[in-house]
Amino acid sequence: MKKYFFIQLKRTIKMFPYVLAITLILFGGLAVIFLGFLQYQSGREENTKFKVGIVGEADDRYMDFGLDALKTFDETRFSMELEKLEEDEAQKALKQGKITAYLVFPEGFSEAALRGEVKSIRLITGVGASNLIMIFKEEIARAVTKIVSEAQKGVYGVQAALDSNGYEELSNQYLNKMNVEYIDFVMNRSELYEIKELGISDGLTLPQYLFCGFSVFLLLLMGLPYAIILVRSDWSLNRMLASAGISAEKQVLCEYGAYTVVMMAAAAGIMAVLALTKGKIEQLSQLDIFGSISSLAGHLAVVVVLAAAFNLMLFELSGNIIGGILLQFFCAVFLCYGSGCFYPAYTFPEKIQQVSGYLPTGLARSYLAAGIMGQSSLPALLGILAFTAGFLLITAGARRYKIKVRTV
Amino acid sequence: MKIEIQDITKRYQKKEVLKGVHLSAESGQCIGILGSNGSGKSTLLSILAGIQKCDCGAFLYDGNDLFHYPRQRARLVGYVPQGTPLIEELHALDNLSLWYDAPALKKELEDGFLAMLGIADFLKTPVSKMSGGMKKRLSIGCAVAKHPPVLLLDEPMSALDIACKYTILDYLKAYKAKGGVVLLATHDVLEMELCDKWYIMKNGVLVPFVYDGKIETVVKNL
Repeated sequence: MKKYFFIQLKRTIKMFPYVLAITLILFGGLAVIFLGFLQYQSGREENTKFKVGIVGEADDRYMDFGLDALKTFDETRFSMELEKLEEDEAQKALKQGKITAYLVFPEGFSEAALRGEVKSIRLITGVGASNLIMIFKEEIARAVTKIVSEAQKGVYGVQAALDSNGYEELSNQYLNKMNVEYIDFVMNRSELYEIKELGISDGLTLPQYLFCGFSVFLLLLMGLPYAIILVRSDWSLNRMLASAGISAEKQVLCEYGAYTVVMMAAAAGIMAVLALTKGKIEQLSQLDIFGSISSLAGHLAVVVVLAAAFNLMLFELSGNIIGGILLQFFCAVFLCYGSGCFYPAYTFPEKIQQVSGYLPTGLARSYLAAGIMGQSSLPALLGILAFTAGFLLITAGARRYKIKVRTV
Repeated sequence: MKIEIQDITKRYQKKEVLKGVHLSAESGQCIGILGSNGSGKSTLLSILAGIQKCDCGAFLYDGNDLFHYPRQRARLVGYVPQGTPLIEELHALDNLSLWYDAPALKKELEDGFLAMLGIADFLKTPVSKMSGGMKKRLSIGCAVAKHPPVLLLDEPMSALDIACKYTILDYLKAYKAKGGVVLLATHDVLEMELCDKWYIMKNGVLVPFVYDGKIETVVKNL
């Protein structure tokens, strides 16, 4: 069995240059799609009318009045659509992509505002809502400036009225105090809001999320050149090995071991390319994965273990090389799409979202996400190992069948 | 040394492909199993090689049923299936190293069966660039790595040139001379001439046959 493993290793290493070349080509292609997608997202955001949820102080008449005024007269109505929601509704809507963000007004916000006190509004966003944050900040600054300047006009109007009616002493006593309060209000306007990004999934940013998804896709496709040696129509060697005591299960384990080693090496190659190019490509800095690189590498290795078992199974089930490549490609696309590797899964209907998390690719993606976040994610790990074992069992079953049934 | 095959029966769903097959052979004998395509020759050899299980029957080696001792069977029975049981991307030497330990391989290449099969001449040739004859010789070389006393060959000389056939024939004669038992599934006249006993497999039944050197007799009985 040991000899068969080493022979398989030698065989797969012979193919390694092709695999590395294909991997780098795929990696380059996916990197271009990845960067293009990020660009498209930010461009789309610029032309999007944001849907924003309003949470808290919902029954307050000042809030109602303010919101109606914004919806009807203010120019923000061209870029924002406001909707009153409960907080749990807003969270759900944000996860499902129905709203871009929601504002949480604290209890007693209107009354505090009337007293000139500062109570922070929280802006909760998903990710990729940087334009909305900018609009929000500008709007707050504009509102504060407007309130202060209009109020100042009022204050000076009162001062003029008091002065002209012989109340100069009174005017000096209170106006200074009022001016100090306004200045204090203006100085603290940054405390009026607090911005919190919930993240797309598991707290990842959009680039990180897509990195995980695209990595899973790449790992599934990386083994395509191995179709040449792993898809076979002549089973006589396997029959001879079985006759010599190396059973179908042992054969599959040896082939899987050798294949996984080479896939690991190819994955390490990709990580090396990423590390070398991180300072050279601006968008890569957005990824922010290099802080948790050791955790990510460990998680990536586990995903390679899954991808190798998956590839081996499909090659075993294929009847010919072209069929094997096509089967591999379409299964990778289908599973990755279904599990939200190309686009956040929350854009899918709820039922699909539930299933997508349990697909092998969904588990792999969330396990990589945990790697970026420096977390362990035991359920995803167990799921991945269960799928790996399942794929290997299917492969061994298919091998046993072919050894017995095929005469050649 | 004596081998006996007793009452081997094999069914695929409702179809009975082997019906109570019996045969026996002694040290130094070659048994030829003839039969048309799909008659059950390869299935019988697969069962004896431990690849498939039979529904009933025994494979006795000096009285021990090898079906009950798979490790012993793997050591005592060499098997060369149809096709090319080799790794195409690797050299002959790599393929041999899968079956042989390094010292044994060196010895066999110098003056053993591998030398007789002429494998030393193409050790560094990738399998993908070998002729059919080279592949078959290498396959037999791999199958006899553990010096099994019983050798099962499934149409070993099909589609080979005459020179290659004679190399394999000479090797099999030497193997017999050393006391080995050969079971051949064959269509080839040269192979039939090597055999000491002949059987014809017809609809899953193995019947003894006397080969008189005339191919017409064989064809008539198939």
